[in-house]
Amino acid sequence: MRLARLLVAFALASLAALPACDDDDFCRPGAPCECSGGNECYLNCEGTGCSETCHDLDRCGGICGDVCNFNCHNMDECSAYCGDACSASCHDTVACGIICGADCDYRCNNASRCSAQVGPGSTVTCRGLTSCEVTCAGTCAVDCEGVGRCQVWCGADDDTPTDCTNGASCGC
Amino acid sequence: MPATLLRIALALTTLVALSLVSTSAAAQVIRQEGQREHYSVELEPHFVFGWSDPPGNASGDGLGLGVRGTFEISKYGFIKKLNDSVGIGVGLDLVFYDGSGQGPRGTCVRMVTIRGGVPVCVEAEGSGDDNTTLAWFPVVMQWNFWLHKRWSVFGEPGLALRYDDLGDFGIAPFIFFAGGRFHLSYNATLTLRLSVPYAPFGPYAAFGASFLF
Repeated sequence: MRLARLLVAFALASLAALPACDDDDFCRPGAPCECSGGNECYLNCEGTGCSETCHDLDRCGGICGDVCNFNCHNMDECSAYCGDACSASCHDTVACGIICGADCDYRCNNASRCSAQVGPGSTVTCRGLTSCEVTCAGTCAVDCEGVGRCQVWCGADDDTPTDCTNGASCGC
Repeated sequence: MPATLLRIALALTTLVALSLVSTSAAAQVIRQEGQREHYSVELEPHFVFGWSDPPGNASGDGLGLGVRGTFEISKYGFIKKLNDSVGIGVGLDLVFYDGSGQGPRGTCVRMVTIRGGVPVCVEAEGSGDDNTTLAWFPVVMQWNFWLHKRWSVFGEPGLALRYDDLGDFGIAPFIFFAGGRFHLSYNATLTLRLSVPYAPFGPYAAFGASFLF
């Protein structure tokens, strides 16, 4: 009887200590998804409110929906493809690129090249780059500082970019 | 986690050694063949700790629960004049690994190049985080050495099947555990089990209680 009570107590304690587990281990909204080390990694998260991080590898790409947070650093190539109101950053990287929807906020720091194709109402901040090239579909603000060449195109068909080099803040 | 577990293992080992040295020779039963309480089944629920990447998708540190059932198949082991015995153990361990970022990598299936010549991946598949729940099904031969009225140790060679919640299935053809029990009474013990060597389980420890029937 005493043994049975001990067994029941242990079982109950074990159940209480059981960590929460999930059935879907793919990147999902609300849970951080991280990739590091190795050669390549491409994270895909469907839905609103994803959070993805990539660092210390050769190439990485993050794909996510609206209100996404994407960060990458310390690699050769990093790209992001996200919907509206996404917030992305890329630093200590050779090439950074993004295609995003409206109201996105993209920050490039300490990289060789940074290219962005952003939707209306977006903000792009470039710091310490060789080049920063932004194509805006609608209104946008581009802030370059310490950038060798900073250019902004207002629309995909715009052939005459605005030069925002030398600390000038400009946009469309 | 590794340093903590190492300290715990060291402390337990020291405790065992001191206990064996300090107690009377009469309590040491290792040279008295068959001199112990016999049992048919050992039921051992336990907590599981893993602190490195196991095979498959899982990575990072692991925490979980498991149970081991061991059936005594021989009251006398392989060595004459020694108090040893042999059992067959089967079990299930469910371990949740928190992921270290080294999991499913994903593949870019469509890349476009934007102004400035930077490629942007716009479609990917197969990616995922690597926080994974892993199920192990070990089958082992348990070789027991009944050292003392309070202490016994065992080695467990065997194999294990694994299955994770990403659907990955695999087999570890050779595993080995080493463990020890502190006997609280004739039919209840505290039991510690370590994977030795670390591969293929990854560094892995289980701590629980054993009930001998």
